[in-house]
Amino acid sequence: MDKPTVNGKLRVKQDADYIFHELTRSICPECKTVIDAQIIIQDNKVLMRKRCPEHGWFKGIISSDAQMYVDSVKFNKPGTLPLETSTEVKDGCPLDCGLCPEHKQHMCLALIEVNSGCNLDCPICFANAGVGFSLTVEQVEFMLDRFVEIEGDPEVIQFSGGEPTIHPDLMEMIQAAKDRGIRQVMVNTNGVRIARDDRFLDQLAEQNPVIYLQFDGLRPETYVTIRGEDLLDLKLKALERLAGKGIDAVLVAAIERGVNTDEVGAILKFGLEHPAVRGVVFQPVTHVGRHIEFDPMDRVTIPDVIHGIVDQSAGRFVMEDFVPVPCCFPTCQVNSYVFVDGETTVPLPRMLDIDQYLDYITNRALPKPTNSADVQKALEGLWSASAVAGAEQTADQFQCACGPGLELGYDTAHLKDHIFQIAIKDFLDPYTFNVKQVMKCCVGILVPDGRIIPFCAYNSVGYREEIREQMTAERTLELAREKIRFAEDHNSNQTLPLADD
Amino acid sequence: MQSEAEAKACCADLYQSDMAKLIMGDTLHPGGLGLTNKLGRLMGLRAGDVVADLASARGESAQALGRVFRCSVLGVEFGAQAVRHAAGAAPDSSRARFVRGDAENLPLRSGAFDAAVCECSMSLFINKAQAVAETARLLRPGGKFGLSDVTIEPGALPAELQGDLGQVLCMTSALTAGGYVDLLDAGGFTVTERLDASVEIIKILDEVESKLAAFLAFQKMSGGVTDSRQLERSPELIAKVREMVTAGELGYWLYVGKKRP
Repeated sequence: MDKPTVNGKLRVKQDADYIFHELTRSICPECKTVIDAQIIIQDNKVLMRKRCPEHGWFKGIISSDAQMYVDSVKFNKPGTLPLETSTEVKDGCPLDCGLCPEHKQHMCLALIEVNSGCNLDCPICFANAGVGFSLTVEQVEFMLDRFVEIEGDPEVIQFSGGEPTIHPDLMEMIQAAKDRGIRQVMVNTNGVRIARDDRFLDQLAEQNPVIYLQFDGLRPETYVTIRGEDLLDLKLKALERLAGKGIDAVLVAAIERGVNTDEVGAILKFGLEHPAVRGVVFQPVTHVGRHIEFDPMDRVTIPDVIHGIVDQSAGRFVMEDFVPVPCCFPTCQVNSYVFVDGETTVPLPRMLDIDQYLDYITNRALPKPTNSADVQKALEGLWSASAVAGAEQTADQFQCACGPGLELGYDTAHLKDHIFQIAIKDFLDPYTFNVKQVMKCCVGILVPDGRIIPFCAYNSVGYREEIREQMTAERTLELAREKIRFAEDHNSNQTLPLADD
Repeated sequence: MQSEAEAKACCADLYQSDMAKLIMGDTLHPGGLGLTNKLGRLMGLRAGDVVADLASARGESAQALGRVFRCSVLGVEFGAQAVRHAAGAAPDSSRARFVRGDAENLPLRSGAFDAAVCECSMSLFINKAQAVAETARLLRPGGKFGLSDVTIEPGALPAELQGDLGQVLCMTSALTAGGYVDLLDAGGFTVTERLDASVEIIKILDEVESKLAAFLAFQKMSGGVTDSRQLERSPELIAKVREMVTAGELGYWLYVGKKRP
């Protein structure tokens, strides 16, 4: 029997200094083995705590605002299942990706990484860009066909890399996506070629995709830290040239603690004022691939970015302007839309009570206006991973959502120029990896064998390395074959005249 | 009552108009290029096939079929302006060519084609049997005819849609879902595939609805530059059309017919 006293003092039961919120599954950041993980709430922060039998305990921050995290639950919209799955359930999530029949959502947005090479060499790159592979148009066409089979009516495709603009067949690939009825094509780029290559810019203007431009800040030092060199002038030039051609751009800012967390307000202001920019996406740096040293307990999370915007925007924005996205797991992304007219900016969540329309848990009747079902549908379109800033459809949805209460007085063509999208997306890394989120992920990477793999599983679990190795091996083999063919042709050319002698 | 020639010209004009483009987008039929692709797959189009696109409009489908299936496509279109646009928009590398012509009297050689497509247009043709006979004439035996069109059940068309508006929406002279099978069969084709794509009409209604909302709001703000009485009635009409689709009275179907030897 235990002693009732220790050192002469009566023993008293202690409260834990945290709330045990839930149990989920994650991976070991060292060996990628799937392990249990606890989600706990401590000092209004949400943390993941887990133990690998071999590598011990790990702890990382998931959200710096527990209230916001818990409140987002009601935005969890029931998933829409894809027409087809590509793999079987065998080892369990996240090891059966492709999608497997247990996946809870279709893909709102798919990416194709057309190459692994890049014309920059950034210290931070989740894709770990470098020499490796380059897809053929035929491979991309096969992947697009597969995407159509899986989705039926795919909405958005994004070409990425590596650096897709250095792929010689990019335009043909964009056309192939359009030919298959895919409505919106995006190109994810560092902007180097847009800033420097006139002929490329002309071709791009003809295809007119939305440009997803990496844009990390307005200070040269930010670029030196994140990209390894000062790219500010190049980015500004790229944007100026896009505006000149009427091509829409979305700024994509990788946010890292102690580097550019104090620049989010400035980036947003710059975007709101630039004629080419239709939206800004803030992405806390994902600590996979290449990244600078980081403390998993001090990484940037969604509430940090929102607070940054609120604090740095001189009263233009409030916390409530940012609403979780219901199609994915609602802790993954928040969006806002802003109506912009000169100096005036009005966030859409001020015009109507979005909570009322996008609350999927509370059993409630839709609000009064007769077209409230349309408003709900329009809002679901806007608060979705497939909403593309600058797309005409987005403008229609905005108009419909605002329609009865506020007649904006712009036709669709002009309205598009007045709508600005803000998105904050926190991708998972091996410290924050949560199977629950991956199972409902709606952003996927199409791979050459036709599978489509949830983005965060692709980056954190080992799929990226597997595909890269396979593609590089195939490419090496192909190059070897070409070499042999060349040698044979060369030899036969040499032997022919010899036979004549 | 319009004469046949007037009706043809009127339809062709309307489909070339900016208003049609605003409401329907670049592809003037339900399902867009996605459904064009589906039709091509149902037909089993193969690289090198010579394909006729009847009523090719602005040429988007013909271009896409050429690139996706690596076919040579000849688009035939009644509207001269659309033919010029299609030809002008075609890149040098295009596998599609465009000519002006009447689908009921095609300026094409007999037996020279492996396949033909006709998207959302058969319903507009005055003499459908003649158009099918013409298609049969230009296909080789065993050649495929891919047809996609609006279907309507007898007596389902409401009075407000029986005028020009209904005609533009391909509804006044559309056949029943079974009617197209009979039409193809009578014209020398065995129907091998049929696919109900009516959900695509619902998608269009959703889009037209939000575009109209935008347009009407603009009208109200600007004090009504143009007469929008017709448009103001549109929400009711859209609701009616939606009801018809849900009830199975109005639909959109794909068919593939194989030319009998």
